[in-house]
Amino acid sequence: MRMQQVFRVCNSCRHILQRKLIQPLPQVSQALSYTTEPTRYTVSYEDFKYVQDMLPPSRIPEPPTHGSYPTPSGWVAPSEKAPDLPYFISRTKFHVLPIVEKEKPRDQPVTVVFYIDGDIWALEKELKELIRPYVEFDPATRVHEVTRSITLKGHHAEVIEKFLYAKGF
Amino acid sequence: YFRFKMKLCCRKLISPARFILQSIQSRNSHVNREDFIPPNLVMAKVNPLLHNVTIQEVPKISDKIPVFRHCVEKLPKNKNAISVWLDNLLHARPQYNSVVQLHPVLFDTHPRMDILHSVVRWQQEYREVDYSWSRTRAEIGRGKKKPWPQKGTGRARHGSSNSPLWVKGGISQGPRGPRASFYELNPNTLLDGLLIALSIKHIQNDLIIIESAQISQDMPDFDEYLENRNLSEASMLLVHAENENISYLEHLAEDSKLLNIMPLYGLNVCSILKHDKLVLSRCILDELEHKVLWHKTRYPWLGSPHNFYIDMP
Repeated sequence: MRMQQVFRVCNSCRHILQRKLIQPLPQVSQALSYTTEPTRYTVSYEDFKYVQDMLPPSRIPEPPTHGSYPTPSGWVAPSEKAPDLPYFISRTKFHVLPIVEKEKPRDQPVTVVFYIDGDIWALEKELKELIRPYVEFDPATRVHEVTRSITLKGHHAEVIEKFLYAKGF
Repeated sequence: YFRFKMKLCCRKLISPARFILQSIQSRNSHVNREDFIPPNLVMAKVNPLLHNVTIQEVPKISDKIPVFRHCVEKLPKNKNAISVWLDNLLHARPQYNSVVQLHPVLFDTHPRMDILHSVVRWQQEYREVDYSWSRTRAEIGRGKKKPWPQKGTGRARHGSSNSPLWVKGGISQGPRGPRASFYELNPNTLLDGLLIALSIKHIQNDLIIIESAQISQDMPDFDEYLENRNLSEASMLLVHAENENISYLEHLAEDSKLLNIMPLYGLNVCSILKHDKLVLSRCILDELEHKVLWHKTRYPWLGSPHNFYIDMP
C-alpha cells in the first residue's frame, strides 16, 4: 500500500514538473547577455613568497642544537666526532638510534640493533655484559654479519639506548 | 634383462663423472676442447701471469695532491671521502695530477649480495612475458561424439576423444596465454642495489673517473689510450651527463665492440655488472650524489596528501 502511495505522489509530481517545462521560458534581456571580449588581468608573482614560506621541505632537516641533553622527549644528539671504538652505530634518517623491540619469531620478545659498522663481535660482547643483570639466564644473542644487526632475547631497548647515548652514538 | 640393467648401473657407479661429462659434451660442443676453461673460473681478461704484460704501478694518493672535486653532500661521521685519481681521455698516458673525491655512501656501502641478486633478478624478469599456451579439451575442435558405445565392445568407456587421457587430447593444467612476470621492487632496495654495484666496482679497482666525455676529433688514438692502461681487452661502460656533447664518442662506441655509452638516467645495475670497467664522467658526480642522498634523507610519505615541497626535484 505504501509503495502505491509513493508511486502516486511521484506521478503527480512528474505532471507538475512537465507542466512547468511546457511553460515558455522568460526571455533574457539584452543588457544581461554575455560579451565575448576576454577579461583584463595582470600576472604578479609578488605574493608567491607567502606560499613558499608555507611549503614544507622534502628532505628531513638536521635537528636543532639544544642547550642541554637529554631533551624533554629523551633524545640525545650524537657526538660531533665518531667515538674512538672498534665499532660504530649510525643513526636512522630520523636521527634516532636504530634499536627495535618486537615479538618475533614465535611471539618471543626480542631487541634488534641495526646499522652496525666495524667490529660487530666487540659490540656483541659489551651488550651481553650490559644486559646480564637484567636476565635470569645467560643472555642469548644472535649476530648477523650480512645485515649488520645484533638480536638480543628480551626487551632491553631502554638499557641499550642509555648505553649507546653514553658512548656518543 | 635385470642382469643387463645391473651391469649398466655398475658401470655408472664406477665412473659417474665420465657419464656426466659425456652427457654434457653431447650438448655443448665447445666443452669438447681440451683447453676450455669455464668463464666463471677465469679471473681477468689480461692475466699478468699468463701474458707478459707490464703492469704500471699506480702511485699512492697523498694529501698534497690538488683535489679537483669535493663532495657536495654531508659525509657520515665514521667514514672519510674516497679519493680517486682523475683520468682524461685526451691524455694517451695516465697523468696522475689531480684527485676526485667520492661520497662514501655511494662508493663504500656494505656489499649485500642478496640485495644485489634481487635487483638483478628483477631487472631480468620484470620485462619478460611468457607466451607459452596449450589447448584445453574445449579448444581441440573435435570429439563431440562418443568414440564407441558404452557397453559391448570390451574397451574402456570413453565419452570424448578430447580427454587429457587420450593421445592428441586436450592438456589439463597447462600454460595459458601470455603471462606477464612483471612485479615491483621496493625503490629503497633498487637504490641499495645500485649503490652496492657502484661500490663493488670501486672495491675491485674497476672504476675510472674522467674529466669530461666531450672529446673532439683531434684527440690522440683511442686504442693507444686503452693499451697504456691495459684496457684493450676490457669491456667498458661510459656514463656521461646529458648536457655533454658526445658526437665523436658515439662514433668510437659504434666502431668498438667493447665500449658502450650511456647517459646518467640510464645507469642501472645489470649493465654495470655486465661490463668489466665503469667509466664515469666527472660532470655526473654532483648530480648522482645529490639524487642519491636526497633519496636517502627524504621523508618516506612524500606525495601524500599533497606534492608541493620547497626542494622537490
